[in-house]
Amino acid sequence: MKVYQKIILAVELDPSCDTLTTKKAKALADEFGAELYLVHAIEHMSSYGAAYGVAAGADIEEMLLENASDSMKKLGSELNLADNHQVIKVGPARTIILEEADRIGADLIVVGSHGRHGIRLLLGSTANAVLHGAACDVLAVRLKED
Amino acid sequence: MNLYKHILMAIDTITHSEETMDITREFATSEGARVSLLYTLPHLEAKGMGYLLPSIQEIESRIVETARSRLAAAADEHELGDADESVMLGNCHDNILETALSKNVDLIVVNNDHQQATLISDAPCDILAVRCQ
Repeated sequence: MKVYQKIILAVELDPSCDTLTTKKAKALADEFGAELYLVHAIEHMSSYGAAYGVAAGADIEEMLLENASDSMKKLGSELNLADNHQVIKVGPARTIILEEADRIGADLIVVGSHGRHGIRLLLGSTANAVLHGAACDVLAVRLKED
Repeated sequence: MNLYKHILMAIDTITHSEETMDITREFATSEGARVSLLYTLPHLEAKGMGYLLPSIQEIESRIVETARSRLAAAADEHELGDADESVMLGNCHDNILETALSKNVDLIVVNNDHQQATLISDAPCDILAVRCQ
């Protein structure tokens, strides 16, 4: 039985979150002979900083995109992934992950159970949203809470 | 892979869990992992019947017995006959967590039609939600 053919891993580009999920996604891809894809979402910054009188906007997003690209290239290189298997987009994480999974025809999404931004009520919200919206299997990897 | 040593498959329906059973078997085979199967059903009292009538307990006993047979048959059919099998009545979420903790599992496999919200937050381990047809 061919279990999974295309696995997409949602990464935070933060080793404290990604080390475990990457290890498991890679192991599953190797075991099942699946292609591995990485996806990272940068949340829109337009409303950030307004309370401090800082005009956060497109330039901040551009900076984040550049930093993310560097981190993604490094991780992609460690996993020996082609450039077109590494995706960074600006937008809500849950939307980006599901859209990319759909675009590539993923049959497994791997996501951390808790994000690094530890507001208690929101812990696991991305993982939950992905689970509820996914058209394929989802592996929520247990991460330690912040 | 050596990712998982003990896999718990937790379902509340046999009929719509075909893919979940197959995936559980594949993971267990790849990992050389031990497998536990949990079939969880609500209490009859949850539907408002209460325990006023002594026959309710008898009915639930029969439900559990039937559920055990169905689980055993499904396990054999999906080459999971060596797995530990159990049927529990009550709150599905609580039953899954209680079983996962007591058996020290490191992967819970569920159908992706569950209420995973609190399960993700409360589970002590990874959760694989399988999309069933």
